[in-house]
Amino acid sequence: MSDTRGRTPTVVAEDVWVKFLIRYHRAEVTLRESFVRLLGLLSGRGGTNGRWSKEFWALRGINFTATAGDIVGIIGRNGSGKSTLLKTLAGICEADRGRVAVRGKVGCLLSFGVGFNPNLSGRENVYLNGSILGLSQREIDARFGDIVEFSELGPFIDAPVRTYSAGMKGRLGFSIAIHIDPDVLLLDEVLSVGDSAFRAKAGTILDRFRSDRKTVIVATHSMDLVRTTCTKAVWLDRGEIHMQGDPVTVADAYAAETGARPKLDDV
Amino acid sequence: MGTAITEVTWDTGPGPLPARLRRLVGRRETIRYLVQANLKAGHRNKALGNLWNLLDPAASLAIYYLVFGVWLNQARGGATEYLIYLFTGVVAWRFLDGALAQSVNCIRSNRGLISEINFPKAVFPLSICFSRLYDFLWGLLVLLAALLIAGRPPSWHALWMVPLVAVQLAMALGLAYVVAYLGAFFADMANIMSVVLRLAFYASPILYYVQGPHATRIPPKYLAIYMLNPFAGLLESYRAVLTQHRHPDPWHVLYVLGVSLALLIVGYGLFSRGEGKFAKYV
Repeated sequence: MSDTRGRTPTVVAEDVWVKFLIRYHRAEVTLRESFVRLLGLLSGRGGTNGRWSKEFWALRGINFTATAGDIVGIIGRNGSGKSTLLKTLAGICEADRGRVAVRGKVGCLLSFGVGFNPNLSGRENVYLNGSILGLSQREIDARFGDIVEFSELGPFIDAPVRTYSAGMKGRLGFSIAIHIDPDVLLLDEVLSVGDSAFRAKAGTILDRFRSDRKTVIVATHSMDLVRTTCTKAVWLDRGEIHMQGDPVTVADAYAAETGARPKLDDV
Repeated sequence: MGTAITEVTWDTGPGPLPARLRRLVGRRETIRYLVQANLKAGHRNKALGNLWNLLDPAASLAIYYLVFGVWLNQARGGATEYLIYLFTGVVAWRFLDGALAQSVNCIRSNRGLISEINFPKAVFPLSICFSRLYDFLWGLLVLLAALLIAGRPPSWHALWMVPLVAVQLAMALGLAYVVAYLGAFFADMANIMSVVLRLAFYASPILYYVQGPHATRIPPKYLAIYMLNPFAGLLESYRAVLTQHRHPDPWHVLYVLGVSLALLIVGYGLFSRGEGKFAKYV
């Protein structure tokens, strides 16, 4: 149960709007069309809603707060803005309007190890990623053994990452994300990587984060995860919050409306 | 370092300049790892490995010597002298050319990291420029060896190289920020860049002399325009201090320094505007 009164919020989003520019790839752009467009741009009438690109508001007026000890499940259909919300909270995307404040060190794992340099070994990637996440070499040295052990990569840690399977990359990424000791952990449907044993291990980690009074925000399609692990749920629909609050209530309402859709991975 | 962030607010906009620069300095280790990765990834999986760092410039040097030195008779003032002239130009050019050619794609090629972690993207052009600087310094060592073998050891004027190389780093970095920013939003930038770089290569005194008895005849009124190319002034300064044992032309140095600093300020300012947008548009 989340009772935010009397507790310091760790993550605050106030009326957050995020806009994307969608560019269409047109196969038959003629010289004449390009010229017309150029004239439009020069005369200042081109705007951003031309034929080739269009504004798209991925998040529209998001208000939400999480406090220490919260595990917030973000649910919603594909394209509802879950990933964008996490990226905005992580500071990766800039909010076009509104304010985002995060207290503490942020750890995030938003995709399956796409941040790895495929030509470097797992070991080199741990150091590079750790450093980009803000750890010093000494801090990474101290955690290196734990990171490798949790990732279950064993000797493969010295193989180039391009030889890794998706599961191996996901495990290594998850392992790095939790070992940087974040105060706020952002996860995007990454708990579905790895086999069931690894998922169970990841689930216990979430419980540990809760008992350590950290904040976890996880985008997921698993209503089981929302019901059993989360302290709060946020249902996004087309960039707006459709419903938020008690995880069981929100998950039941979502399942009822979407007709218990099969679980799909959200990229 | 530790990054014990107590409160972070991602407000819109890149934040005040001193804070941004402090954050960048705090990323020293990240930059070091990126430079190492850049240098390592270059020639990994190749049979000849790092030998290519030597073979590649040597091959272009040989080609330029044959085409421009012998065939187009630029080496009429002496083969050794022309080879040293050429080598200085080619090594310095590769620093700038390599830095820009890589920077134009640096946001796109690091798309994965950028869409996953929030950190100053300014580390990418910086680490690329440092990597190419590293190659350049090795090139200068080879040049030094060549000068010694040719019996033309450099004089103490060569100490000028320290500030001159710093100026070239500023120039490369400033331009790298500009092309990295533009390259992130316009895929055409890579093509435009390669044309502009080719033009700049021929518009710089690399393959032919512009001063001295064997100078290619450039009418005096155009020579002033020609020297507006800051890289031309920089190259002539390198040669003055390395092979001609004299001070560089102070006006060249001041002009190149001014242009480089202006490029650095404009480039970094422009790139900073993109920090929060790259992840959305790339």
